[in-house]
Amino acid sequence: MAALAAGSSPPLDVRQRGERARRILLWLYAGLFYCFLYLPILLLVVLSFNDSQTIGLPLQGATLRWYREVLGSPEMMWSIANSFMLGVVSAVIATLLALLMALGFRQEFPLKALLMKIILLPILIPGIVGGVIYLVFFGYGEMRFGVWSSALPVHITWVLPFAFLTLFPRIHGLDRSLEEAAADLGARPFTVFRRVVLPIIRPGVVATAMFAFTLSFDEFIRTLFVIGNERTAPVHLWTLLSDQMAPFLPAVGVLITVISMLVSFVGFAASARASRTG
Amino acid sequence: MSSFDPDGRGSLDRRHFLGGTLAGAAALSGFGLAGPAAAQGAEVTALMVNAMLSPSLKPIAEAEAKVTIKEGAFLSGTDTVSRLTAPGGARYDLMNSSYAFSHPVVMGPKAGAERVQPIDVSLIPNMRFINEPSKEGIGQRDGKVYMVPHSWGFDSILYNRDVVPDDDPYTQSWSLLFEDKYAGRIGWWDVAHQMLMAAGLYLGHAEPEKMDRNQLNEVSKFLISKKKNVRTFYTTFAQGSNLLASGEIAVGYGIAPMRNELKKRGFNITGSWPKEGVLSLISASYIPKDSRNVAGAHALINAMLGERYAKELSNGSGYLSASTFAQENLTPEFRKEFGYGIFDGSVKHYQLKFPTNMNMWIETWSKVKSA
Amino acid sequence: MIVAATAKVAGRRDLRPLLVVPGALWLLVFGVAPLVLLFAMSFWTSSIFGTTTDFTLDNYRVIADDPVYVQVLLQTLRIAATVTALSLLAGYPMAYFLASLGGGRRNFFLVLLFLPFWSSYVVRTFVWLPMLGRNGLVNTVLMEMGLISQPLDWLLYNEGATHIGLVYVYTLFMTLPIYLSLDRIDRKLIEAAADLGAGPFRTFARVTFPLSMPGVLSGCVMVFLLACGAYVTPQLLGGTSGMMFGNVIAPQYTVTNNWALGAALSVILVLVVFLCLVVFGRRVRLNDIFIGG
Repeated sequence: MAALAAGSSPPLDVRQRGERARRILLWLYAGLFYCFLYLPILLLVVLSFNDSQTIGLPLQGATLRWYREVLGSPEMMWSIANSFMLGVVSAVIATLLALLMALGFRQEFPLKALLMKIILLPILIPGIVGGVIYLVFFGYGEMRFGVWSSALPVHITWVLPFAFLTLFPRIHGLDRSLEEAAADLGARPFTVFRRVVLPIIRPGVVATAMFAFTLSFDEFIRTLFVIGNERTAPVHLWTLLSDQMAPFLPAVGVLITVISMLVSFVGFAASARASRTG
Repeated sequence: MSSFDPDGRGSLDRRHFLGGTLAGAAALSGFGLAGPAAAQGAEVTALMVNAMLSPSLKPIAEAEAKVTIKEGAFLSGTDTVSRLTAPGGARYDLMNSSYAFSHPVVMGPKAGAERVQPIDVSLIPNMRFINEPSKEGIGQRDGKVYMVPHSWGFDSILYNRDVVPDDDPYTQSWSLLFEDKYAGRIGWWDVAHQMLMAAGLYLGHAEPEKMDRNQLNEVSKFLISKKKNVRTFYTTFAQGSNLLASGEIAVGYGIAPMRNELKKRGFNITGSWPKEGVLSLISASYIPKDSRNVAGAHALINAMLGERYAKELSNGSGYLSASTFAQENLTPEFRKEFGYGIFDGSVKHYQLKFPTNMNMWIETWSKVKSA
Repeated sequence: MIVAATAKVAGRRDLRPLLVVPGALWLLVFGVAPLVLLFAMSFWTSSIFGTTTDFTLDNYRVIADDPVYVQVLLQTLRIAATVTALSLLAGYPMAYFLASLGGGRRNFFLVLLFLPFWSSYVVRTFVWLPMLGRNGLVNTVLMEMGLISQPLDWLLYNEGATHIGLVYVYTLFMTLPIYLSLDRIDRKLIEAAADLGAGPFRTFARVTFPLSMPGVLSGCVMVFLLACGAYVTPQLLGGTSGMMFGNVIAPQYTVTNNWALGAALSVILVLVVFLCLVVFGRRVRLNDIFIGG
């Protein structure tokens, strides 16, 4: 997401010999790559309409019943709603924390290098361990397991490093002379931030929040261990794979993809607008 | 442990029960604020095999108990029991898992160390109808009842009749799951306990749960030598069912609900009755100490032993109800199909028991898996 | 000028570093503390009756005594390393392709790269079952074309399938950072190389590739880490052979109730992964790896 919102730079690789041949090769490769990427997704879409009691080929006629079953299941809809809300809230909080940290990181302070390593920690811990430590941590903390009690902190912690790493280079590279000029003219620090810094970094902030949302929406293994009785969409999908045959599973997958695509496009449009007005 | 004393209720810990009821009431009022669930009565968060609350069974249980059931994500019986000892409490109002496997943990090492609360049998009038063989599944100590039997399940080998003919002699024993005839089309359940029990039984051990290290080593050697026949392991019911349904495997270790669901969805898949015996187990219900709706949990246990639920249980889940209601007016086909012969001895079965040294079993199984 | 500004602020005591406090506190509580608890727990005692805080070294002894654990750990590292290499091979040309496009097209293909990522991780793994299975798409197509008469069984339920699944699931984490660092390369450098008569391959080897190293390292570290912690993919696709360390850790919590042993196994995985990073990241500072060029 971060990449999408960034202004596009001129194409790499110009004015060279044999450019045409290489370009054709690259396009061929990209075609293959996108096939690899999309063939399974297309199969998923096809299977979601397949009137068969198993998830798979052969095709046995088209039906909409799986979509009806899914849309008629309040559990499924709740899990998607939970994932969506959790994604928004954790993206907002994590982006805010990351923004503050990135602003603080422009100055020197003691233990800065150590803090940098701590920020990276949630990324460095392998996923399965990430799930286990929160099970233990919230277990001994006697915390209730649920979307808003235990899953929210887990999601914020998981996306925080990514949010920081996307924001930090943008804020670090800011030209300080504008701020100084504003300060020289007597603007208070907060005013400087609001009137000078924020407009410049706004597209970056929006892009970061979008990236954070995507990560949270897709998070599975850490959530699985601490969600208790409640469900996010990926966890619900996993339980569908566990305790019952679920021929409607492809339909669920397609719906989740469509929903997160819509959300992301809205976010993309918003960040594009932010860059224009910024 | 074998006989149930209906007058034992006099000695019930009333303070416990009162506390529980208060907690239940508190939970109830809490939900009044929390959400729409309260509209239909108190909510009971239950952790049990999902088939026990399948679409035809859940409404009966809810109506009879006058509660709303919220299902936890059931992973396995062992996972269910392990939650009893997890820091921060079990976090469920009612739980259900294999009696033999849960009993040691549920009852704790000694009196007073029980991990669950005593069940007030005066609130479970349907306990009168528990059939004779199932009384073994009542967990009690010092006159207090801690576990109430719910149903019987049994594990056997499921096979696809398009690939494995019914008259194939392999279907007569557990050999179907191990031997080379259907190499590459076999699925094993990734559970140490059940797989080693089945293999032990097949290799002729009279009491597989008592196998020592040497015997376990032999079993693991056997399994490793047969692993080449295995297409894949699966960890959950649904994975196994999907594998059988999609034709990925033709033979697999399976539990009663898998067999029931596959049949219902129209697959030509059935379960065998091996001569060494199917592996049977009694499922029992228990109420964790931190249950927030003790009254609702009691009502639910009672409802699940009641006439309507018991009569629907086999059809809705594949399990055999522990209640005598379920055995009334059965057609011979129905009896045969669902294995009611377990109750009168006409179907050979061997009850799954807790191994003498569980850790050794786990080790043995991981050796098989990573070989 | 910067010095002057800093000095001026310093006169009033610079409070701006305090902005890191909320985030730092958050990470101490939810990042560091759980890890410390896990470490402590690896020295506790678990039985079927639960976990007590009695100190013991038994958990580590069990792991040391049983060769299974080391074997699976090595297998995990091997799979993670192969997956990383495969992702790099697949992802680099893709990133180069994206960077070589003009603005409008580039955005279109970037979105196209992101789209599958928006379907759930579980779905992206699961979908390989109907792709590679006996009656899967690949087998069906090959049989329709008459290339094979029997379905190929070796497509699924082995280490190969685990590799495909992991590469598929994590490919974005490789492609994106490489693309970002290619994108940042000063185009004048490439033109200069061309002007000086360097051929396209020489330009790539001497200029483009070295300059994209931060992205390459960042992607490699990311994919390696994610693959080391994999649990669902090997379980769904790996069959009888694709077991990874995550599949050894999880059952300690969900099956055998041996939390302390699970904690010890987790500690070992974390330490080994950190060690790999230290060795891997010696030439580059860790921060640069993640932040990219």
